[in-house]
Amino acid sequence: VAGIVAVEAGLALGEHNRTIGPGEMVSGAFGITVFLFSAVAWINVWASRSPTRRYLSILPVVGWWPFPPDISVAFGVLIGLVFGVLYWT
Amino acid sequence: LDLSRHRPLLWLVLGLLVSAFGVAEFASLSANVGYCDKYELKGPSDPYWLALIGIGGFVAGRILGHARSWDHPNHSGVRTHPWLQILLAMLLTLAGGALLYESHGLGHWEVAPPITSYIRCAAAGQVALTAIAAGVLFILLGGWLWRPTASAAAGWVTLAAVLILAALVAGLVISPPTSTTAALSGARGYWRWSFVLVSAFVFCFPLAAVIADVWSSGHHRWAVGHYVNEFVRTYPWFALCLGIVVGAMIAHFFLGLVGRDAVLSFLGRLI
Repeated sequence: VAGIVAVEAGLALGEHNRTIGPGEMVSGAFGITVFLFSAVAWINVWASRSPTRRYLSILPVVGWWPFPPDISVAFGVLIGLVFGVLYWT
Repeated sequence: LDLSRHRPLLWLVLGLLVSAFGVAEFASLSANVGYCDKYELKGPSDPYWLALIGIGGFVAGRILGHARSWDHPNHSGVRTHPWLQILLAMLLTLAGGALLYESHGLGHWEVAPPITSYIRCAAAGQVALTAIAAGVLFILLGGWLWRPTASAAAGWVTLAAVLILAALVAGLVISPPTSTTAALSGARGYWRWSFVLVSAFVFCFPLAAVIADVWSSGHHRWAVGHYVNEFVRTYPWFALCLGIVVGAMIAHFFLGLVGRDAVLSFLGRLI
């Protein structure tokens, strides 16, 4: 939540000069995504500190994935390149 | 587990990295910052070559992963490690902070250029140095995220990636992109120390990894990459997201120098 507020604040700071365009939207979306992952990672660190709260660890709960890691990475890079060329250049 | 056997190699890599880091910092400190106010591409193919080096480095990291299989026992006991989780959380927080500034910079690009503008200006003005930094960083990322596995699918994926790269190189050689006027930001107010910071940020990952590996080699520990590989193997969906970021970064920083239309036109001619 703090991350989302921070990114929105960054966007709002930019807004007084001009309206928010696609660049800000994409950057903001990336920022929010990264902050969410960051939050997940921090919760995981916190949860792994004690056996009593280990069940709160988020990553193992959503650990299921139908594809092997190497396919995931290759596919991810490809999606990223297409996304980058089409929307983020 | 015998990382200590490769200690001299690690020291050599560390020395080379420190030298490259020193050159990058010196170039940042002595750079003509005013150049970034209105810069043009030195060569129309440069952004494509930089993107190729980024993708090629990523593939090379995977291939080089075979060479370091000596410290990589294929067991399923290690899933992740608390310190790795802390490092990941710190890295993501740092990245979040950088994106916050990026959002602010996009709104104030006349006086506070976004980080992208710094990297694109460096890529346009110092192509060789940018290529070295991109090569080092993406080799490391490829070795960490895209660890070689024994599965048949992995072999096909690697083959496909190498073929795509070869086609891109052939396309560049046979049909170089036409000269384009780069769609550059026209931002003002570049700050010399920001270049120093960006260089430090780029080099801090490989430097920290090699320093940690040198330490591990003396303490009979696994290499840092081993833990990252295990993490990626355990959470493939997370690997997908990180892969998207890697691909988007390559396109955003390098191909963004020529703009979407020029890239699509080039790809169209290539196909």
